Amino acid sequence: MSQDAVRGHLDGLVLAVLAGGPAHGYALIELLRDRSGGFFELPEGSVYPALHRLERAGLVESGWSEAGGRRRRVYELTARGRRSVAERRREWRTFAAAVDAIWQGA
Amino acid sequence: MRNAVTDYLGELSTTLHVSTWRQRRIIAEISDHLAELIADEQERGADPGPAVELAVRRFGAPAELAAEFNADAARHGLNRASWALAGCAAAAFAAAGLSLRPGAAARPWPSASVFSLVMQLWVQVPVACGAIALFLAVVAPWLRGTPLARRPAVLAGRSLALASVLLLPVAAVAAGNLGTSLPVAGRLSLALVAAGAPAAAVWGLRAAARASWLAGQADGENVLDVIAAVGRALAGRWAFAGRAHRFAGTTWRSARAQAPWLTRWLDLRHHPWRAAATASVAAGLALKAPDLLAGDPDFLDAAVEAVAFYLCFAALGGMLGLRGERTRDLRNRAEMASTT
Repeated sequence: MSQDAVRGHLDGLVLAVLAGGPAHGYALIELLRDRSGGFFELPEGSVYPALHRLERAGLVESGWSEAGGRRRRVYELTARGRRSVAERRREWRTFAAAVDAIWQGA
Repeated sequence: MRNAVTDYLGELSTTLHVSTWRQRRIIAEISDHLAELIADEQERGADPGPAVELAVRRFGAPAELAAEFNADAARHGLNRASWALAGCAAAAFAAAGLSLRPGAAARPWPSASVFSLVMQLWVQVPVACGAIALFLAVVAPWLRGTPLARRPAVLAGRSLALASVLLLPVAAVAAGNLGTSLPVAGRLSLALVAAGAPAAAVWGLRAAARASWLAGQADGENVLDVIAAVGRALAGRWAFAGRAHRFAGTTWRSARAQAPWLTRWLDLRHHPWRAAATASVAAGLALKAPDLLAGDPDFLDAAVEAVAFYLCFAALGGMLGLRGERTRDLRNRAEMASTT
């Protein structure tokens, strides 16, 4: 799958990762890589436009925190973001099941 | 070796076109992330120098990153400016309605006829442009579930720019009438227009200039295509909308089969001028429908509305993407596609 195709789903993937708990940009990209078994090898910077977009949409909120002498901006889901995750998960499962059913017949 | 990070952040800063506080925040976040990456590379055994180079390489090209932030800022700007202009247009309508109602006993500035012309007729053009911008920048992306991009973004920008400029005479007339003996509610709406329109216009022109960041190389989607796409999206989203969409499609197809001469007049995609003429007459009648129902028809007023509607379509329809593409353009595009 091309990187552009992955980027089309990036907002949803970021929300899905944040559903597991608050995270900063560096941790987010690590989680995306780990949870996809290394499949989503995206440029590290690509999560930031997605995070800012989701924040503007009111789906995530953020704040600075300090740990180990290092300042990080931590993102977490809002109530609207949690509802969006549930909706996107449902939509994705329906879509994936339909595509899978077609591929099984090929 | 710290220069690689400094260069990266410097290039990012110069290519980012967002507000100052957002730029500061982006640079701070990315700077922190790069520091983590450098530490990560060093933990893996890289020397400090190569660690910085590797971290910068892992982060992605600064121009691409900035382009994505800029595109989001452009979308956000178009969205907010559309709402602001819609608010100003609504206030202008309210002001005109309150000022011209019977018994208002007002002596508008500079004269009653100029006030009526600007506040009742002229204002309809920025209202229509603002409505197109609001549809393209806010409603259509929401209903389609896709971000605003390419030609619809450019068309939204043009609509906003036009609405912004055309609202200025409305703001001038509104400001000139603040000191007259209009009712308080009318003056409040006028004050909103006088103060809000210039601010919204600046905002709108800025957003319109940024809309080009979302433009694509080759994309022919016009307003009619977006309306059709929204119809299909709605049909897929709600059952009743699906039924309405199917009903409209079936009705149109059967009308085309039964009365091709009639549908030729209404097909905006293939016969924009005839369709515009029909729509102009319909708009003229519809805008004066209350008078017609009250048994006091003002045919001259209705004719003025219809002529104004048609002239606006003739002057602005092409620029705002309201006309279907001409057969010649479609043929040229197909030829270009076949040769590439």
